[in-house]
Amino acid sequence: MDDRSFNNQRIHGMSDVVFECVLAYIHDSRDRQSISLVCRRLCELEAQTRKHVTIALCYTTTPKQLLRRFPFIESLKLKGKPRAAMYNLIPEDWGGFATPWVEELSKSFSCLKALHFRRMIVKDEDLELLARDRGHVLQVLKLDKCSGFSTDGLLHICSSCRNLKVLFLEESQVIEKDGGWLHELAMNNTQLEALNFYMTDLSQVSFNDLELIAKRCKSLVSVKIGDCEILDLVGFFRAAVSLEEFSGGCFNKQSEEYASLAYPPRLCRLGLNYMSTNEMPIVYPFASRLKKLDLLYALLDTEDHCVLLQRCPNLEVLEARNVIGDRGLEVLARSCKKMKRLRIERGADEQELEDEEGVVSQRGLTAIAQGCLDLEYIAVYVSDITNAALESMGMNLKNLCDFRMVLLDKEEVITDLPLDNGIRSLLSGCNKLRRFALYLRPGGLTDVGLTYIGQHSQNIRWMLLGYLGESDSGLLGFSRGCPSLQKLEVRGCCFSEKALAMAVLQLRSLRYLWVQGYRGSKTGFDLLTMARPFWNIEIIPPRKVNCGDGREMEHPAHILAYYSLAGPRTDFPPSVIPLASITQ
Amino acid sequence: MSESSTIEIDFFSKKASDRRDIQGMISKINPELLKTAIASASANSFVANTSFSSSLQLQTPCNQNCGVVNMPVTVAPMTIFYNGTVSVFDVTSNQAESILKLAESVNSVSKNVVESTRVISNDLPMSRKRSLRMFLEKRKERHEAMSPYACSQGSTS
Repeated sequence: MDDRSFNNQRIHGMSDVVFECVLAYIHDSRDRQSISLVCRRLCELEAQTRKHVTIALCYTTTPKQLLRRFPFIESLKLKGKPRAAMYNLIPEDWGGFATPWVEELSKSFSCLKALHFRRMIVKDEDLELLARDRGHVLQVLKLDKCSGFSTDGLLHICSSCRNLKVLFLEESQVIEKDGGWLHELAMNNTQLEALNFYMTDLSQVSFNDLELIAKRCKSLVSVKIGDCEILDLVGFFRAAVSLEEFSGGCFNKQSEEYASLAYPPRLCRLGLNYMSTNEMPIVYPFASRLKKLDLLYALLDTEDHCVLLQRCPNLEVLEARNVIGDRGLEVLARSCKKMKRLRIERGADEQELEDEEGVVSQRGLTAIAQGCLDLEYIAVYVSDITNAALESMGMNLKNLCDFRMVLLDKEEVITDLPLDNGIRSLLSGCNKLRRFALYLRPGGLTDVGLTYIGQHSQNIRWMLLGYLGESDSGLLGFSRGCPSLQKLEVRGCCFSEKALAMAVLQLRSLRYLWVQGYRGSKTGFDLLTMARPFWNIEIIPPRKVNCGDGREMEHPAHILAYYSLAGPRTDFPPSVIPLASITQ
Repeated sequence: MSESSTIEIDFFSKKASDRRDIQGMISKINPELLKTAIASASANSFVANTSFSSSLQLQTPCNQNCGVVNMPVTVAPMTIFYNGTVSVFDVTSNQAESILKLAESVNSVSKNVVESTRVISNDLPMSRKRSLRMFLEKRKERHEAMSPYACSQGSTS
């Protein structure tokens, strides 16, 4: 205490010590931001006690700036490529390189224990450096939808990071050389709690190593793997006594062989890939315990969904393709009253491969609205929609924070367009909404409807607008509202460059804009209306992309604009052009 | 002039300097005949979308009357061919002008909308999330591999 009293300062009559104690309980970054603006001393204290930082776009700041501001962070999340990269719309070499960050993090951030890279390019050398300099303290490493590294890089991590609790590689594109990394992990680690290489193509892993990990890591709670025959995992399941979550695997053998499979007693989050009707009964013994179910990669039809969901009264999270159908959603609404998160993805387009009943429409949505009143997140691909269904959601789903709806383009005639009134009801009823995505078609929402969105989105921070509005005046009406909108994505709309630029100037919280599909001016100079200090503007010009099956597709231009403290990028690939260079 | 005989006045052969002569001749024509002639000429002039000019241009019959004579408010037949039907309406010149302007404006708007939707929907197909795309491809391969006809394409059952 003597050391402290030497430097003791008082803020409003209270010593630093008091504030330090209080700050330890404040975790929300917005609250901390407000505190840091009070006075210089509080800014310093807040900076010294900040444990976690999320940098929503890695080009908005530099590693040195992060070090100056928050030198003692224990956890960092960095995001690179625009979200559209998940839909193959962004060139692979766009950017988001982890290297400059890893170099500074390894050198200067002595407290760092958890690192999460999302949609970034990570090299084997980066992983080697991280393993060498931070290996002894690193507890969490998440390479989330990343690319650029191979199993050699993973080998370095697994050899050196003996305290690793979480290794997350989901959906990363990893160059596979062998399965040695998993063997190293099995040999060196007893602390592992979560292992995830789901939706990667890593197939040379040995199930013996998985079993060894399960035996040695008593706290192993979550395991999500790639395609590995389920029958080979019998030993693994027997050893993983603490396991609560499992996804992956596949069913290649005869259905009867799976009948006697025993699962860990606490298993309540499940995703069994390539599971078909005949294998479904293996889930029945513990279906009533299930809190999370992933059926995105299962081979079930509509009836199967109905039968299974009826047995899951404690379900809170469901992911499925639209093969679940309206009937499946009705069963869900009747049986699963604790639902919090629902995601319905788009199934195959070819009719033979999916159930005839496998369409979701206003019928299913209305059932969900009336039955699952605790719903916080819904993302759904619909084939048909009405204003009434949206109104029902606005009236009933008071806890909704995240709403995403895409209207599929298969059906020519939609029952009830435009959706102006339904969307207004939804937005004014669901006033806790923070994230909103609406992807329709021409005629889906008028300029009036788009203005409604602006008027009724007090708390929304992120929006995706797809094929909305009729003209620039819709966008301008929209941009007069949306007081909290920080990140805006626009696709397929008919807005001109000038209107987009003016909208940016009106949206007072906006710090990030992505657009694909717009009415370009002849020179491209209309965008300069939004030019201002600290605002980077980049263009990805139109390009031809190989679809893989011999076809070539023309991708229209993108605009990407964002606030940055780092000035323009210094690592532009040929496929991305900063606007400044166009004007020279 | 006798009532039974037909008077032919050839305005086209006259030169611009003979303006006063022409005006003199017009004033001697039966007023009812004149009204009809003017009304039919003015309807024609709307269809041809010519501008009113004060100078007489003998080459263009339409302008001839318009710059010199005050237009009486008469109705003339307007024939509209639409979608396989034919309709005839008696409209005034102002009404005819309004109808034609409306037709023109509707044309240009729909052209824009069609163009923009054509451009946008052709160039921006709905793209799929990568993970799902990979799964659907794999499932297709499994489906084809398990098909009884997978390896025997040429054989008959």
